[in-house]
Amino acid sequence: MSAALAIEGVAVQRGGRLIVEEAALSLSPGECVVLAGESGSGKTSLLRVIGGLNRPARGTIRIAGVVVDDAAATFIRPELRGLGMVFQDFALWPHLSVLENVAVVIRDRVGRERKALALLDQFGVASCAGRLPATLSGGQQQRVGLARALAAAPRLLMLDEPFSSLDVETRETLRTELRALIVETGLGAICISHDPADIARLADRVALLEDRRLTSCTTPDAMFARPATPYAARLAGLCGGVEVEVRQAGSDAAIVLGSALLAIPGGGARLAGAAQALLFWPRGALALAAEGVPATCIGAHFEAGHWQALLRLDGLAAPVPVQCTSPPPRGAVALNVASDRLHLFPSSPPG
Amino acid sequence: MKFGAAGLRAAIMAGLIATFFVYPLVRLLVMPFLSGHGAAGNWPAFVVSLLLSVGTAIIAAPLGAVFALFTTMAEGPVARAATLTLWGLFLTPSYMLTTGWMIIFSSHALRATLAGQAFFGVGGLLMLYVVKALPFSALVARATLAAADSAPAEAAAIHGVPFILRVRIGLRLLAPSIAVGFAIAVIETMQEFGIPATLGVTSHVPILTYAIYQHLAETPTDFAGASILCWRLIAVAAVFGGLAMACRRQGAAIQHGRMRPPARQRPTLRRELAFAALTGLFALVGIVIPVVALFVRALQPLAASMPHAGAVLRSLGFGMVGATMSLGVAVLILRLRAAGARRMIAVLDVALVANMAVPGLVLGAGYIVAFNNDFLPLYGSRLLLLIGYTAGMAPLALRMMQGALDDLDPNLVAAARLHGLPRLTRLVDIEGMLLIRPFTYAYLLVAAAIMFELPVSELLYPPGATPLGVAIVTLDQMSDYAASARLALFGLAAMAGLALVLAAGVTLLAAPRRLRPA
Repeated sequence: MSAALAIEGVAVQRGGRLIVEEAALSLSPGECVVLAGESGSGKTSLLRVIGGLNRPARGTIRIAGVVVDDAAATFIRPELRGLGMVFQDFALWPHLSVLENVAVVIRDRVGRERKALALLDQFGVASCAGRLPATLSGGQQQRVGLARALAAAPRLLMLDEPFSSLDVETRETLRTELRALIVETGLGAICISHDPADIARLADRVALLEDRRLTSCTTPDAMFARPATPYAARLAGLCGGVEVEVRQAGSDAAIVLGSALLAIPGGGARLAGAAQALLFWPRGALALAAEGVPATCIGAHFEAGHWQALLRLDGLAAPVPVQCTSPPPRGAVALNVASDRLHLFPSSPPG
Repeated sequence: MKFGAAGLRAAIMAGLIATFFVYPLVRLLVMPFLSGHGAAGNWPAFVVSLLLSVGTAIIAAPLGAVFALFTTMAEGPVARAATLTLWGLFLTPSYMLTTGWMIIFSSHALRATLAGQAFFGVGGLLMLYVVKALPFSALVARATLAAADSAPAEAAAIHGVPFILRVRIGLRLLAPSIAVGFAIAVIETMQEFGIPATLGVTSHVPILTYAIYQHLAETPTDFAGASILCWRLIAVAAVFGGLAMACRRQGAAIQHGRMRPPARQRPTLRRELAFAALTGLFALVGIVIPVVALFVRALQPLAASMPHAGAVLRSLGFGMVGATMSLGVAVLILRLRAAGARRMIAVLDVALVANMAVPGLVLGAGYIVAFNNDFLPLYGSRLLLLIGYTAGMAPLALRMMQGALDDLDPNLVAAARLHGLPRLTRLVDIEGMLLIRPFTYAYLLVAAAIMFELPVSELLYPPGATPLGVAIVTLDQMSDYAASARLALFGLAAMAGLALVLAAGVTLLAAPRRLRPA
């Protein structure tokens, strides 16, 4: 079976500047890939290139096995690519009723309104069919957007931060509905997001766009186990990010944490000498203890069922958050460090 | 293929600009140098015009800022009435405003009073100039304020900054808007033609624009003399236009993605009453009194059949055709911009700014010089008149249509493409329907501006095809106010009729179709 989407060596330019280089990605039918990256990393630009709204500078894009753009002579217009798209700002046509918004994209004129109504019913907004989009809530508008995207009978579903402008509860409900829809319809979907919850609930795989490149495309559990970059680590839920000094200690690397030198298994010469960003799992990596690395607790707050202390360590520019089960004392404390729960990344991204 | 089409459009546009803007202007402006004409010219007209313009701007700019502040910050019926008044003043042709007031002061009893003597002198000119300049100053300042962030004012309030200091901060933020309003008021007053052509003539006050017209219309024609005066008019526009641009750059308004526009608040009763009085004064002076005077005089029996009766429908036709041509040029330019023809865009932008600095009177004078020869014998034809209208109105049409396009969320069009809507459906049912209201509004505004246009009409109308503005001013100069009032009112009625027909059409076409579920 052909991939729902395959891009090879795609480069994207914006304002004469190359913002994505050598992007490669393949997406199977029924699979959802979440495309994550920091603001301005080129996610939306890449999506627009896939949609045919912009041309790539280089590379080839295939949808359902058909070359739709090769950055040269082959270019299939967006309206002929068989796409459905859900926009961040919904992009419902304000002058058309909800029913018309959905009906107008159904190609077969026979029973068009009946089919549109059935789709609206599937998303629980059939009662709004006669209303204008402006009279609907954000969640209802996004449901209509989803119904419209499916009404086009797409071969590929594209979602551009579809939940970012919705409240937490609506977001949660729609994520579940969308996941069920992708699985049940067997549609390939590519979804832009930088919300870890979208990755957890929607993604079969996560593609990261960093420093103009798709740095990894892996399953959420693999990203969780071995985050490849600080951004991936943060998406996976790691915290911290303070810069630490790394020295070589035999075959291992050791970080200078306050007045202590902590060995990090492996790394050694590879890490030594360079400044590294230290990220760690919020649970189990650092803990207050009777003895350990001396630190100063400058404050604490209660967050999602636990206390979080802010500790200052000598030699570190920023305070370090540490989870604890009870309110920590202010002032001098000691810190126990589980070095296998620490992750080091180069402070500045490689050239 | 695509590049070829864009290239062809760019070539057509470049040809149009060169032929109908650059060439006539150059032909006119080089005349003093070719003819060896000295720098004589009409200095009193220039000095009086400049003094009147600066005086007008000194009054109109602060008042415009007050109107801008109130209509941007306040809510309620007075603020809405003030906005309507501003637009009413903006749209009322200056010669109609003057005609109304001249009808009032045509009574011998009133003319003999102190007010009457003041009206037929510098005082009357200043009053009417201020009324016409106010909407320009206010609308310019409003545009700046509407784009301003409320955060600095809110920060001053939250941090307990004393009232006087808050006023100073507010004035600092408002100062560039006032300065831009001042510069625009000077330019608009300097370029005003309707008031000098009516009241200026009757009052025998020398005004620059009318002096240019006299050089061109009276025998023997003096193109070189007119050219020298045009140079002065353009120089003033350049100096004050530069000032306006410099002030815009100094604007303290912060513009960023998280900007929160100023929140509208209901003003205190005292302020609302004071502003209601100010709005009422301008509405009375600029709209109500002249229009009532026109009505009253129009009801008087005419001595003979109404002269120039055909001018109304003729100018309505000119307005409709001219608006179509202006919007066509605007669409062509917008398509060039969308195609990203960078060099062409830069040329177009320079041409548009230059076109706005060159009043219709100068362009019309250039057309007489440029197209009154064996090679391009267009002078005296309806085509040249329509081209003159188009050249003058294209920047306005372009700005309005660009504004409408800027307001359109590009994702709405992208959604139509991505979901496979056919080209015709996208063009008619999506883009067309979303843009039909602002485009119709632009069409009506341009058509109205052309229908009541005066300077280009005066200079370029073909024999036997007197446009409405020329007919009204001619009748005014003959003191046949009853006939001119009727023409003015018929003209307004015809334009209102066109607006109604188009509005009904748009309502029918673009009405949201609220389908019921089957």
